Amino acid sequence: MKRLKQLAENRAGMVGLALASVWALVIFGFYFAFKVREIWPKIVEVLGGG
Amino acid sequence: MFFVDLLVAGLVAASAWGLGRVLLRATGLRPGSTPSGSTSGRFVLSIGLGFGVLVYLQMALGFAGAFDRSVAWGVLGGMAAIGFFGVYYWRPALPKLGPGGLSVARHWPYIGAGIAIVVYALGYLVVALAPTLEGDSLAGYLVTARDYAREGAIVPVEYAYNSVFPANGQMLSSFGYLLRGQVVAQLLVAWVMGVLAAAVVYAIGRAWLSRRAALVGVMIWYATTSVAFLAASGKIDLAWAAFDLLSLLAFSHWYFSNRGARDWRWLALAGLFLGLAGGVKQASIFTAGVMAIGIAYRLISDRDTSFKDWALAYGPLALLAVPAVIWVARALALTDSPGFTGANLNNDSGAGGFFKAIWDMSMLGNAGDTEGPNGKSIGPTMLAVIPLALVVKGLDRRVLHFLVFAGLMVIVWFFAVQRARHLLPTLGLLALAAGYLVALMIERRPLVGRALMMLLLAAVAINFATWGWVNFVSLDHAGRAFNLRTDDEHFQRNMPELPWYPNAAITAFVRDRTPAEAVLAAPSGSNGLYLERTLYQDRFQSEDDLSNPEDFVTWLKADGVTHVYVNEFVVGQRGHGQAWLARPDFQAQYLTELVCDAGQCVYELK
Repeated sequence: MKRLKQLAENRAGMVGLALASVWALVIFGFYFAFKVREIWPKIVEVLGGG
Repeated sequence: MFFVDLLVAGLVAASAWGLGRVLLRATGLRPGSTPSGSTSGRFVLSIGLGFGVLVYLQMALGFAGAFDRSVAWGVLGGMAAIGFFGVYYWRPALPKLGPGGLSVARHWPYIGAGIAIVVYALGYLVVALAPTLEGDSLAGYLVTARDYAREGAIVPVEYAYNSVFPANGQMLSSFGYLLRGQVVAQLLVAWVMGVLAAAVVYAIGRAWLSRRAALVGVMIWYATTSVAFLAASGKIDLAWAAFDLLSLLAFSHWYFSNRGARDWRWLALAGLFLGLAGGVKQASIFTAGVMAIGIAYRLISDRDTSFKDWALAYGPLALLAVPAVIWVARALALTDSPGFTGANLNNDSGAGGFFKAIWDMSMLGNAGDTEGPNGKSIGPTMLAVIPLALVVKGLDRRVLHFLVFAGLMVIVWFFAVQRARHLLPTLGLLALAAGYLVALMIERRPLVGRALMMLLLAAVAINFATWGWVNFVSLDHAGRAFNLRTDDEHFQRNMPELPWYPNAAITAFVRDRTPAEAVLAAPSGSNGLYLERTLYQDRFQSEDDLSNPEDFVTWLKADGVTHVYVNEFVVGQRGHGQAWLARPDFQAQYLTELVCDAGQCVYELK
């Protein structure tokens, strides 16, 4: 029983960590997307494409 | 010469540090929970004490009407002389590396953080070495500091929008003006204070978390766009952050000590720094409120506390914070308001608004309509990383205390002024919590931790790229910083990018060819620091306000107005096209045109 509880706790910890990691990825993803959208016209201008 | 400016600012900082060492030794307080933690703690508390003495000395001299270049150099000489005794016995101990030494393969996250901090600090330094092009500084913060130095006293500067705000920050910048000029003022109030604030964030992390958490935390805080924006200004927010964080550092030594080891002198020191911070920016009242809750929590947890315990906790804190009230009293004496309330700013509201404010602030900025999307973001790291605290086991309990403190501060902030710069000290604690979690992940789950660190470093690099573009390419501060350009060439190069401000031709004309006692009126905001003249920027009255133009002219003359400045772009943006001063028929009858350039004109009042 104790081992089962330990296993469940470990699984819950893994799921929690996975969720938190996905959350972090999503937040950084949005940030990079917003940043790219902000600076893209300038990149195009500097590289001579626009 | 930029290196002389740098030398003078460095001398002020070194003198403050030496003086502070003498004072800290006199208090008998020993900062830090570990021997190495105490090094950074002692350093920042010393330099903070030294600057605190300087601020209060300046305040006394300013109210006594004794601002003078020779007095300022005398003050600096006195500080340096006492400071010499403070550093005479200083024996620096170099930090020791771990048994494995420094390995790029293993330690790249922390090497990267260290490099990022140095690169940002150097970038901020170069920008601070050139006359700032930041709007609020040109409309108020440097105007008041310069006029205090010029008038030899703390006087009402009615034409500056922040005339009656607390002015401890301007005590530093006016000291810079008195010693040498605007660049030293900027270095003292923005760059040195920014470095000090970052060092305090490190000292807090070093004292209660770990060296690695502190390093990552400093990088997260120092590289936010909000800090970067302030570093390119003459504003006072970084000085506020430094003093407020110092008060939190002192408070934490009381708060995290065991009951028998709690020393009321830490709270006295916290009160001293809180008073200094509150005298820079009134937002410190929120820090004081949450600190008071923290004290009550500790004392109630102790159960059998006496009245003496409560008095010894709140008494010294409140007593030493009292000088901040001087500025509130001054504001009440000069106006009917205690100072800046932020009541007229656009804010989000409600539960959804709370998340929106946090979200927007973590992305490109939360005040796009008034402050510009590049201005005031705090970056994604805190929002992305801090939720890890919910799922990671065995967290240091002190991090939870940091988070509760920061959570209360964020809630108060949401109901007050929702701008990142009003939250800078709390952001320092949140950055430390995020830094701690990243360092913990690197230790326990290297794959997750290192991936987080790569994302973090990428965000910091992109942020520096956009900030660098604005300040070194779109605008060019480096040419003036390294004396490759004169001030006028600096304005000619950069003002076309900034149509809100008087352009180079107008600036040169007003500064060089109008009488020194000339007073200008403008129908809309004009950011006129470099005009070197009194500039009333609120004369937008139209026929609806004053039907007879003769009455309007009489009113202008009663205020001593001799000249008029009109910026067509600003008039258009502000919707002041019907203002008397902007109307061609009024101009033809009452004004004589002196100069016009690129949609901006200066007239003489007939």
